[in-house]
Amino acid sequence: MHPADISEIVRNAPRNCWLALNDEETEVVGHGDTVDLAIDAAHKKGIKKPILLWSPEEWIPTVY
Amino acid sequence: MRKSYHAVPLDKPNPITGELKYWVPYLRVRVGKGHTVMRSPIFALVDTGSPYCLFRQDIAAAAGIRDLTTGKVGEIGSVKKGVKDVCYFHKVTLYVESEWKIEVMAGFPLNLSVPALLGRHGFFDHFLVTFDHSTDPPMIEVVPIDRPS
Repeated sequence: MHPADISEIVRNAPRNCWLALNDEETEVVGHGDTVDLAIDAAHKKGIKKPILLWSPEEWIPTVY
Repeated sequence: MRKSYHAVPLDKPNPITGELKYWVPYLRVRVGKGHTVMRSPIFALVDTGSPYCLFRQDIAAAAGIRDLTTGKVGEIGSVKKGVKDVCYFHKVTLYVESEWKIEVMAGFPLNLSVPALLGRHGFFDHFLVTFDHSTDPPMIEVVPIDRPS
């Protein structure tokens, strides 16, 4: 799988919230309703530099 | 800088490719205001369809904007007929990947479900961007525009 393919990593993660991934983008390490809550969740797992991704209610091709 | 798109999931197969994923051009960005900067970066979508750089409301709080309503107010529409929203604009510092720092007027809509969009005003006037779909996966190339200071 291509390293930038995070589709299976986030597919079954919580929805309608921010996901915190580890810096290598290989694992969801926390989530939260706000970016700060997601960061706090990652820190509690010892991940100091998470990267955040919005997880929508439905993963669908979207035009904003 | 040249980097791969990211693949994100689809709940239903893509009607064209049949795949349960699709590729999107994300960049890592942090938003800051004054001396406050987001503690972690977010994935922001590089979006030529967006007239502005737009972020969810909670990003404003994380970036140190205490009262969103102190910004310049405007309206923003949606592709969905009749849908529009109030949007507050604030001058913020945008840290793009680990390479660039720019000042932009960013919008924070009250209700539209935008996550983080890098749009024409604020982003595309700072960078020349190439979306290369000739490769698999697609690539995005971002080159800062050299302006005399």
